[in-house]
Formats: sequence, C-alpha cells, structure tokens
Amino acid sequence: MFNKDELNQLYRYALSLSKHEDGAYDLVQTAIERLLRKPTADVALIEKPLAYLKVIIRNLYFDLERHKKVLPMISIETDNLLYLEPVDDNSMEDVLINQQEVQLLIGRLNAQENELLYLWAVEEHTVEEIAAIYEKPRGTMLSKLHRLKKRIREQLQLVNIEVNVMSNKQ
Amino acid sequence: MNNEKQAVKQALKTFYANKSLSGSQLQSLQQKLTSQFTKDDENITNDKKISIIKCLGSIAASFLIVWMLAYLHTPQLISSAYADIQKDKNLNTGLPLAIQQWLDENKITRVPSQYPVEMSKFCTLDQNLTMHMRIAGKQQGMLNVFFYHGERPLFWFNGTGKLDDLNWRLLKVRENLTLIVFYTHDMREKSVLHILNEMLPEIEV
Repeated sequence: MFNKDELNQLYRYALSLSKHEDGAYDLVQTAIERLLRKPTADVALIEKPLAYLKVIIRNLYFDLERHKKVLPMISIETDNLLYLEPVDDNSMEDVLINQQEVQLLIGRLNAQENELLYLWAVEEHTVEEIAAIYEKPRGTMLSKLHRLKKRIREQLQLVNIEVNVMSNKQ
Repeated sequence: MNNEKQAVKQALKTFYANKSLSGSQLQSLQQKLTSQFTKDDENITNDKKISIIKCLGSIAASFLIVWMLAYLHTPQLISSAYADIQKDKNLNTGLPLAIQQWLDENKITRVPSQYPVEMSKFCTLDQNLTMHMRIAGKQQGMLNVFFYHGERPLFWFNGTGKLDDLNWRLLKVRENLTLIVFYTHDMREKSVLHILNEMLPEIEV
C-alpha cells in the first residue's frame, strides 16, 4: 500500500509537527494502525491514502497536544487578517541559512507554523493546495503564509544571535 | 552538519531529506501493512465463505418454507377425501367388475372375505383420479381407502392425523401407489392392518 518513499514522506510530515524523531515515528505508526483498523471496503474507497494518512497524523498530533495542554495557542491563526501586505513568493530568496540554523529555526516555530512551512517549502504545495488541505479560504492561507515568512525573518535574527553566542562559547 | 548557506526553501528541503525512517522502523511499518493485507485476503475468503453459507441458508430456508406449506397442504387433500366419504356414505355399490379388474391390473389382492366391501368407485381428489373403497369392520367400525395409482404429487407426504370421528393416514406403498386410509374410532387398528396387509403384502404400516 505504501512504499519506502511514501512512508518517509509521512514520517517527515509528522516530524514537521512533532519536531522529535521518535514522536514522528509514533505518529506514523499510530496513523497506519488506525487506517488498518478500518474495514477493507472503506479503505478501498479512500482516493488519496497518503493525504488521508496525513490528516490522521495531524489530528493525532493536535489531539495529543490538547491532552498535554501544551499546545501554544498564539499562532498565525490569531493574527489580524484585516490588513494583507502583498505576498512575494521570492521574499525568502535573499535569506540564506545553514542546517544548524534550520534546526534552531524549526525549534523556535510552533507545530502549526512548522507544518505550514513544510507543506510550502518541502512539499512545494501551492497556496490553493494548502488551502484545500486545511479546508480554509485561499485568502486566509495567503495571509498565514505571509505572516509565517515575516515570523521566520524575525526568528532568524534571533537564531543568528544564538548561533553567534554558541560560536563564541566554542 | 552541513554549514553551507542555502536559501530557506532549499535549506528546509535538505534538512528534511536527511530525516528518514531507520531500517528497523521501515521494516516494522511494512510488516504491519503486509500482515494486514494477508488478513484482508483471509477476510475476503471468509467473507466469500459467509456469503455462500448465507446463500445456501436462504435456499434451505426457502425449501423449508415450501415443505412447511406442502405439509400444511396435506390436510386439504384429507379434507377432500373426507368430504368424498361423507358424500358417498349411503352409497352401496359393492365391488363392481371394473374395480375388480383395476385391482388385478394393479396387483392388489382382494379384501379378506370377513370384511365386506360396501362400496367401491373411482373418484377425483384434488384433480387426481383415485379408487375409493369402503370396507366394513368385522363387527364394528368402517374403513375407507383411497388408492392412488401413479406418481405421487409433490405435496403428498406420509402422515397421520384425526379428522372429526375418523383417523387418517397417508402412506406410500409402492413407487406408483399411494394410499389414503380413513377408519372410524371404533374400528380396531389390528383389523385395519390385517386388511391392508392382505391386500398389499409389501405394506409397512
């Protein structure tokens, strides 16, 4: 049903949410178990099993976080959407980062931000596709992406400071 | 860790590309998927078996219903014969030649002489031609026998019962001979068996 690449794709998606490798594996495993618990006839009706599993992974993660009550409630969801600056897809092109900075950046963003970043940057979904995944209007997703990019710039400044401090310590 | 600076998108792609499931994790997930599909195959086979069993069950149930209807249908034949008995109770034809010939043709021995044949005639029961014979008991009682020669209709089943003052019995004697027997309560069963055994030695009552 799923080949190695697809399983890795699910794992990376789970990792964008959980940030932890073990947690990501648990999410994939639980999602697959849930899918397999469904009657065969129902599974056969699922048009895009991979996308379906991603939804399960997402729901699992946020359910788990809600139970833990550690889910940060301040996110791009709560931003004021009334004013939208024009979105430039190349706005991040001039920003260059290395892998250490990527890791620090991911650590600074919350799950929803990381998920959106993953879908946009790694899976290269269009705004329309992301809007379809979240079942939200395109405008809302444009706004979220815009604010995410803004937040990445802010966080990267902090990351640079952190990296410099770490370098000085070494 | 690679310290080369890349654009954010590319850097993120590189970061995630380096994250993969370990060999054992992959194996475990694939095993889970494979075992489930094997189970699914078994389930499909089981589902098929269940469908076949259900189908056979339905057929058996249908046959049972038909059989039950048929079983309930038998008394209608008996009622018809009973009505004929009532209709002909005052008829005294004895044993006409035509009936004697019919008995001979069908290899049925004559009634023992101590039991007088009061009436015998051909009659139709439920559109089936039968030979009706009324035989008096030695001292008391009355025996009515309907001989049906030919392939027994589908819904005629061996059975016994009571209808008003008469006991009845339907029994297959030969492949092409069926009897519908009525006898009054005061007729000795031993006499009934004696008469029938004399006429049809192969009979097993």
